[in-house]
Amino acid sequence: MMLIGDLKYALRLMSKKLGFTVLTTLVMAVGIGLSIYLFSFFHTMVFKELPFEDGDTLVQISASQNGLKNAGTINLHDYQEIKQSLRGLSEFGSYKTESLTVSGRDGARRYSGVSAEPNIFKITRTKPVLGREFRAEENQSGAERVVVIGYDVWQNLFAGNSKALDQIVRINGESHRVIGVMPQGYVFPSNTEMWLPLREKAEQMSRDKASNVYGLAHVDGDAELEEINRELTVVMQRIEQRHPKTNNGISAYVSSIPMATAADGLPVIYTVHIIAILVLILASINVGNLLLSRAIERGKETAIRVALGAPRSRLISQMLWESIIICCVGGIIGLLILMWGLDVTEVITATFNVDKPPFWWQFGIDGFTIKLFASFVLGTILLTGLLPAWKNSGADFNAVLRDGTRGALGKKAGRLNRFLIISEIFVSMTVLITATVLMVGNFKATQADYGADAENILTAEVILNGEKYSTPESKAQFSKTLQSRLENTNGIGDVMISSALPGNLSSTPAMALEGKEYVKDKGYPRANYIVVAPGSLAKLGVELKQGRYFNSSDEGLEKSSVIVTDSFASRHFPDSSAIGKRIRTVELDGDQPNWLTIVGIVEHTIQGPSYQESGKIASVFRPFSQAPRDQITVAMRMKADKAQVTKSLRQTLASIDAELPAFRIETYTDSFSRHTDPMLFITTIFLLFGIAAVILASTGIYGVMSNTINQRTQEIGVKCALGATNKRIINDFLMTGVKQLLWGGIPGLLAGSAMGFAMSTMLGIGSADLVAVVIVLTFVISGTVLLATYLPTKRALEMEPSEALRYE
Amino acid sequence: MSDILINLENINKIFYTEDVETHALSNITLTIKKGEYISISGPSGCGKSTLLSLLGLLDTTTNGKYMLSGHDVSNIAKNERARIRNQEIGFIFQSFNLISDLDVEENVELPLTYRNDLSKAERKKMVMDALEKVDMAHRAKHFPSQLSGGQQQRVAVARAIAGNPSILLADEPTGNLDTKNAEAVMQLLDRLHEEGATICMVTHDPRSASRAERTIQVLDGKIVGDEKAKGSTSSIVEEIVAKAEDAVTAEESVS
Repeated sequence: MMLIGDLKYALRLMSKKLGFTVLTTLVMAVGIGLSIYLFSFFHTMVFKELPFEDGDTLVQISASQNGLKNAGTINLHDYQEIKQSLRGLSEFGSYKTESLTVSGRDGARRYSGVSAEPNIFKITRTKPVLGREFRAEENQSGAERVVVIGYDVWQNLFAGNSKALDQIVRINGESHRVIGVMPQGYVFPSNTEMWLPLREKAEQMSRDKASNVYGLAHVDGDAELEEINRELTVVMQRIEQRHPKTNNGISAYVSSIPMATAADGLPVIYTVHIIAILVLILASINVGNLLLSRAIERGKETAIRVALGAPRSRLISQMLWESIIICCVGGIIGLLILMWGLDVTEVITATFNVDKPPFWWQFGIDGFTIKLFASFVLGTILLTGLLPAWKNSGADFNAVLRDGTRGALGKKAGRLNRFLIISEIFVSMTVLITATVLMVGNFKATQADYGADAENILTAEVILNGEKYSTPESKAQFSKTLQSRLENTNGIGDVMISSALPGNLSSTPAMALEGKEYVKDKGYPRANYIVVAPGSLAKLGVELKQGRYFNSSDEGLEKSSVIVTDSFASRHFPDSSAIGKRIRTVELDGDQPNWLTIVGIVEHTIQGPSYQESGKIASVFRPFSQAPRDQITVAMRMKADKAQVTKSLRQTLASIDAELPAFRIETYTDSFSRHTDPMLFITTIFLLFGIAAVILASTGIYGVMSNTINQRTQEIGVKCALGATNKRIINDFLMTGVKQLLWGGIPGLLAGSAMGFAMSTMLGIGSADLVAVVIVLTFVISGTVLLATYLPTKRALEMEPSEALRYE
Repeated sequence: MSDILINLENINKIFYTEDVETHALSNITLTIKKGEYISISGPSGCGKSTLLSLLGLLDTTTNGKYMLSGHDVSNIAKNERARIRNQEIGFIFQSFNLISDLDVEENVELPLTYRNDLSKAERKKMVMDALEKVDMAHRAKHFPSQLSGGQQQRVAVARAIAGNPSILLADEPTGNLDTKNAEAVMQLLDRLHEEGATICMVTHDPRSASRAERTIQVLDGKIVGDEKAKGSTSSIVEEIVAKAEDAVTAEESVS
């Protein structure tokens, strides 16, 4: 009953000061909502368990290159050795992703597929809803070709008919019998639509013929991932020593599947988490300070309650109600905003991939979010409510009740205020610097020059699989025919063919430079190795710096010419021109070294997202006819609209080969957007954080300082009475403000700069940018502190000294 | 040289709020001479504290003339008022009003730091002299929170006299003290007066008021009484002079 009475009283008080209540509630909503959003976002993307039984122990074995964890694949032989050597893991499996062309009466269509060992479904504890899984004997080379299809494929191709089992589907030119259908929503390991047996055994094939795969396993009960990774590093070092040519710089790591692609971004993610907590602390300090000043205002009321016999615990609980209400209501509002934010996030992130996003990217309120919400609300209640309640309930109330015993600000109250101000400044500085660096870094990544002119170009991918394209000659002929027919089609201008356009990832084999010695086959540099049809580089606008582009004299398998980027030339031939020098690929050479002569140097092209390390790797281009590939990208300058050009492309392809579909058809600028959109999205989030932090910081600092000076109004009156001029008083207070700025600002500057520096290194921001950010924000915070000191002091000085002396 | 320190002529003070005009003081005319010890008394709300604020230039008059040491300070600028307060006036407040973050020595030094004409050594000497006078020199490094009420008030008195002001203005100086400490503070004020200080004290304690040699009664913003206290030096001198004049007059009439 008493608690209900206290609650009603608290509500009545809060409704009397509605502006204050709304302000504090909104501040809390912003703090809680934004913080939980960040935690929830990264939890969903990287840390959440996969939705399978034993999903928490399911891990992937991926390759790293020169320390960079870029979720690469490992040679099947290496996987076999790891499986035999590594402790702490069990239920090993492996898979590789495939691009599958399914052809039928209606033409050909591409599906995302996976070739895997038969236990792939057992690993995820998931059974087909129809039919069965693979058998061991189906995993042999030469065995009958079978396929397990996904639920959506079952609906599309077979209308969900149970008679789909044992039907024949033509995949990559080969007939496959459907043996099973997976449940709806099952797309393991990542938006997979069809599963095929791997049909490869390491012991039955040589190393250079074996595929590259990802490993899968479950972590044993008490095994630690760090220990497993240490052992894995040792195993990979052993393999590197035995096979330096192919494994130079290659290691491997074990992580959850979501973590595999984010492993190198973990420092950034953890930094963002720290910022989220700091924003919450900033909001809490703001609200706590406001509640503290309210508590001080109500000092006399509290004194009367004490005089009437209220125990301290009751006083504390009465004062806690305001904090409880503000934090709970603010938290709920924050949660509602969060729900909306996560819904929007799901829609936006779905556009980051051409295919469907990873199946674990399901943003929404889940158990983790609820638990986090509850702990944040509880934490903020304690932080914002307990301190004022404790402080005010223990004050000297005799002194308060006696009339005229008010003095200048008490020593303890002064200390508390100073602590609040310094904390506010410290947290603000740290959050603002780090958030701004993240924002600037992300934004810069979206503005990178990839090296090509992407305007008005439509791109598409074609995979040449099947017996028809088993020879280099057939691939070379196909690309020539395709290019020529497309260029003669209405609505299509220049046609460029490449294994990887600027902006796309490429393979990075080891290269050797003629005349340089590689002891024990170590130290080979890596470069993007891209094949292009002659004229493609010029048509794409990749600027020639020296030498020449490819021409008809470079056509033919027997020719050996190459163009390098200026980044390659300056790195490996710093003292002389690279033109005429010779290089070769180490792994792809075959039996005889095949020296390639550099005939031209072009500007650097960024292969892959600019903000990743892959963007800095130099590139080497070869004519398509000299080293044809299976997977090609066609780029067409559009003279008609996109739909028309798409139609022309499909028709032209069908005219060459009806079983060859084009897929990932999108404009070149859209493909860049897929790199930049995630970064822009994150930039927007950080911008929101930055704005929230600036508002919280400036209002918080102003509020705390204004409150402090307000409490010292009487002291100002005393000083005036003693003969201090306005200027003198303002200077004194400004000096105090400067001291507090230094106490809070210097540690904040150091902490923020340290975090900012770490982020800038990862995001490729130069020191000049970081210094500029730090200087600007130092001015912002300093200006806020000084203004927050000057304005309230000036206001207090507008009173006559007699008024200030009597001020309560 | 005139020994008039303060001269108020037809001073009015009106407080304006949204709906109400409060005439705190009406047509106050008052003269204070150097070396006088004056108490101002009256019931709560009569305007005595307002009068003291005006005397101390802590507030401005609505109209009227205020002369201090021969200078018209009725309408001077805020900074000039601050200078005069610093150099000519010493304040003693009911609630002591010491700065809790400063120790005793720093509190007493505070008004001296607002002057530009004193060196650090000079200030220190003035501070210690003042503290000696109030018998608080041994507590120079203590903070206000470590002192009793009486001791805090003595420090406040030291602060008020450190700069050798022309006049001490005390607003209920013993209002927050027990009898013993109140008596100690009053004895201190007596001693200062004997040494030549001009003191103007607001009080509603008759015992404190009786220590002064002249009592001004204020009621509803007006001065309704201005008496020399019986037994005060000036009243004795005036009695002797009056008797001597009577004697001269009587002699002349006989002859």
